[in-house]
Amino acid sequence: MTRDLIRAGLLWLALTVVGEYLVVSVDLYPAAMSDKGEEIDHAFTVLMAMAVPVFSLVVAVVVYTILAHRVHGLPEQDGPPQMGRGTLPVAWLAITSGLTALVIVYPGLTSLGPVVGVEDDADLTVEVTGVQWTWLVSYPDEGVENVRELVLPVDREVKFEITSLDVLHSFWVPAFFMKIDAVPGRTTSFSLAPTEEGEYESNPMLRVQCTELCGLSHSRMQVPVRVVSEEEFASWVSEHGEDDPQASPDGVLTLDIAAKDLLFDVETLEAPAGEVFNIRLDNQDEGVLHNVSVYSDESADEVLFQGDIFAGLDAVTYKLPALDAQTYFFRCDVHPATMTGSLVVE
Amino acid sequence: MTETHERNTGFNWAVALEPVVGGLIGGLIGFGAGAGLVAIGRALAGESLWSIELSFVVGYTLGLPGWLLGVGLWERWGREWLGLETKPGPHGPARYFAFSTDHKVIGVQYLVTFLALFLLAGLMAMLIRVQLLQPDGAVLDDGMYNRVMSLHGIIMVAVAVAVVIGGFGNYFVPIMIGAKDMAFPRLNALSFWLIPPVAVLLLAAQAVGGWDSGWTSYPPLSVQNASGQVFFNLAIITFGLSSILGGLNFLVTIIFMRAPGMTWSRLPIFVWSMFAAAILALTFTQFFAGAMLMVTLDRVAGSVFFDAEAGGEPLLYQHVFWFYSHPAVYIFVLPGLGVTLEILAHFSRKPLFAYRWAVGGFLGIVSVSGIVWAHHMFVSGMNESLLAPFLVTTEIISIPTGFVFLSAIGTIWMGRLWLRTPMLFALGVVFNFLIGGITGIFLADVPTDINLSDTYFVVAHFHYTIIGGEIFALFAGVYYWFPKITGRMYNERLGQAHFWLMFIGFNATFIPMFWLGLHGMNRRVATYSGELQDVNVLASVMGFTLAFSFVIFLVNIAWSLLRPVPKAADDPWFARTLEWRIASPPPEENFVIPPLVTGGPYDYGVPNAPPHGMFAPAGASDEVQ
Repeated sequence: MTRDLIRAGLLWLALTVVGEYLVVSVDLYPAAMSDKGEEIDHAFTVLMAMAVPVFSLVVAVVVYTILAHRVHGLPEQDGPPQMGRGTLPVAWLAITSGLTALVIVYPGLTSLGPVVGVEDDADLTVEVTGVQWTWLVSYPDEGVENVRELVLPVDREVKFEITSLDVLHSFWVPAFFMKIDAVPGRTTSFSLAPTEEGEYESNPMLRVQCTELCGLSHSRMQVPVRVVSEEEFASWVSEHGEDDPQASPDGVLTLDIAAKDLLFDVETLEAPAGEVFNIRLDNQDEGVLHNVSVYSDESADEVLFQGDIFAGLDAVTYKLPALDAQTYFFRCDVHPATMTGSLVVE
Repeated sequence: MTETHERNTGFNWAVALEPVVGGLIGGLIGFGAGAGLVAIGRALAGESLWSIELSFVVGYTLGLPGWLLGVGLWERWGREWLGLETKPGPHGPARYFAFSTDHKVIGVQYLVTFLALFLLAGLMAMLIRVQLLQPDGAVLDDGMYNRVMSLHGIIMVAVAVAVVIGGFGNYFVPIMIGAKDMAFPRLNALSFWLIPPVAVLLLAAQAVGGWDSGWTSYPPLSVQNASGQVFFNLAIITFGLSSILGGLNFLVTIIFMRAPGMTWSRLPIFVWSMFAAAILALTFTQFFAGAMLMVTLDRVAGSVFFDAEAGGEPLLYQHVFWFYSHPAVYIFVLPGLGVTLEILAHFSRKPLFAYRWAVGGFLGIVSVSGIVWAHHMFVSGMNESLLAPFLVTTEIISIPTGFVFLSAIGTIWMGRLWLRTPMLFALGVVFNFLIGGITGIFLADVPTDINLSDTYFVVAHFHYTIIGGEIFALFAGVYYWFPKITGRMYNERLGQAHFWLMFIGFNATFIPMFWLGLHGMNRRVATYSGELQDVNVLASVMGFTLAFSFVIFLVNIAWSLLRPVPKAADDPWFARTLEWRIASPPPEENFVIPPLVTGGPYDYGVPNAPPHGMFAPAGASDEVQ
């Protein structure tokens, strides 16, 4: 029995050493790109380090006993009648309670405050609205409204205020390690500071992804995230700020289209080739967001024009660029599955 | 799982299907009456006669008792209410298709029904893995994917609730405590015959658009989606009723039906685990039904429980839903752990280590399980002051769970391990559930959960707890008790091949999912980011391997039932508990002579230990020690 204990103990020790080495040397997590994310990554690593000896204890007992004491053929004798009474279970209770208390306090409660706290005087406030099946991002203090990308300055404290217009969504940026649900009738919030520049095109973890099942296009409910320098952010804001060049109609051809009951009233629009033209969207769905965007084809990979999203009842005139003769694809980005059509340019 | 000599005498389908046809007729009459009432009401209000959701809800509400009365409740039970003689059910194999009150028949009914549903929902899992071979989801369109995923989820949850409890619980709890049946045999039959409408509803829902809100069915989505959602709601309410009645029946049976000498400290550990799970099923199931009722009323009756604009609150649903659905995971897992500890003791040839601590672990889990629900809601936007308390309670549940592990590894330690198929599966549970439990710590810890919540890390975690903790135990039990139930031995080589393929396939399918969750793959998605494709392909291919292991299982079962060699030994495992003291398969009354329990169930190697049970001559003292 003593020999068995020593051998199994050595196996436990060996497994634990290998396990801890792996925890330290293999980075399971991709790098966190926010201050909160670094805190969470740290908590994850601490928990992994604590889990290893527990896991390897059970594995060592099972593996050792299988190797040393399995029977071949029929079991001809019984094992030692260890009943498990007395001090061993009490010691087990003490140790597991101690471990549990440790996990509760560290990394549990100690990282809770730093991670969930909301910074009230953040450098930047961003309002995010979930709607089936896209995200609308607004910067109230910068005068940027309802854009479909999240652009943030690096190393600045950002406070997100999140809500939903229809069903539950969840606002998650994988690279930031942070998420919270978007709930109709409520505003949820958290704050964080991005710690690295980057963009979705080179790092797919930099995206706003819906993580609460929200119906048909749930998996596609995402918009790109870009973390940029202070200067780039300022110039991005000035491009997308209140003074929107799209808004003013002039004497050129204006195509009319109406959105009603979550459908467009026409399936085809026609425009002359090589000339600028306008599209006037009459949004007749009260409180519902629509827009018109033009893409080169139905895959919607290449965007040629993206109209501002706005709620009905309202009408907006979009100014489109001159296009080559071709049949294009247009849709409402808020309802890409059902509100689509063809733009024929001749 | 019928007996050969009966099959040889010929199986009359017309007789066998009579109860089901009767049930269908009763159900249709009830449905017609309900839908008719709605039509009359709507006609008086000047509206169209048929409103799909309202007519269906009321029609089903009356159709369900019609089905039950027609399927046998009337003949076996209802006639008594009017002072008439009840009629006996059919004999032979036909009783498996009837309103039988024999707990062994009901056990087999549950086991076969839910194994079939398990395989069906497993095929849906394969469809999901085929879809996820490619990031852009080329196989199913998004809507179809969401419906398949939702259906897979709820059928597997139903399997997890009922397969071990309904199957092994019904079959073996009475035998293991030395009783001749459950306390309420007719209630037991009623519990089972509530199940076919559940399965029919879930599948029929697909004809009216299915539902795409997952098995969790959070509103507002579940108030706005296709009418299949209403079928889902009714299925849950029906299934919940079955589960509550079953829980009540097990509690009364275990408290009052134990044989003389079967003290609480001599109770086989599987019976204890059933006792614990039955407390949970009886106490918590109504919350899920209540949540479903509220969603249904929001849809058909104009209530606004979850409509924020009208003063409702979407978060309300999540609390009520998780009141049940967190304890439910222990309804899944406790009986699985009971089967596991049972088999570990018999196949290690040792007493169950720290028996009383294992029992304490089960009851401790029961006590704490009701106050941990909101750890599913750490990112729901609920009040932040709730985060710390639920972090604490959730972590605390690892202490009683630790007792179960103490018992498991203490029993294995130095045991004479007899590595037959049941034992391999039981050891598989120890390994898999360990991973399930440890990864649960990451989800109980609020900071790490904020990132991992609703990702594939969670998907991997709960498959480790449910498949790892319960489904492996289910197959441990299937192989362990197969000779007792059928009187035949399975093929050991095929059994071991099934285990190894399932064990490797399972781990290689779900370990990669932890990685996917850490790398930005959220759950319930028809499409995903392209750079995650390689790991998804790995998970899919290993998933197909996992699925193939069940082909081996089916071949083994078919081979064992059909080959001519007739009998398994009454006690092929040299085990001490009562079910191995009687014939295989057991006689209808279980014990020809009532048993007297004289010792512990697992006293292997204990010097001078009395046998667990012996058969006293009729009329012996029934004094309980």
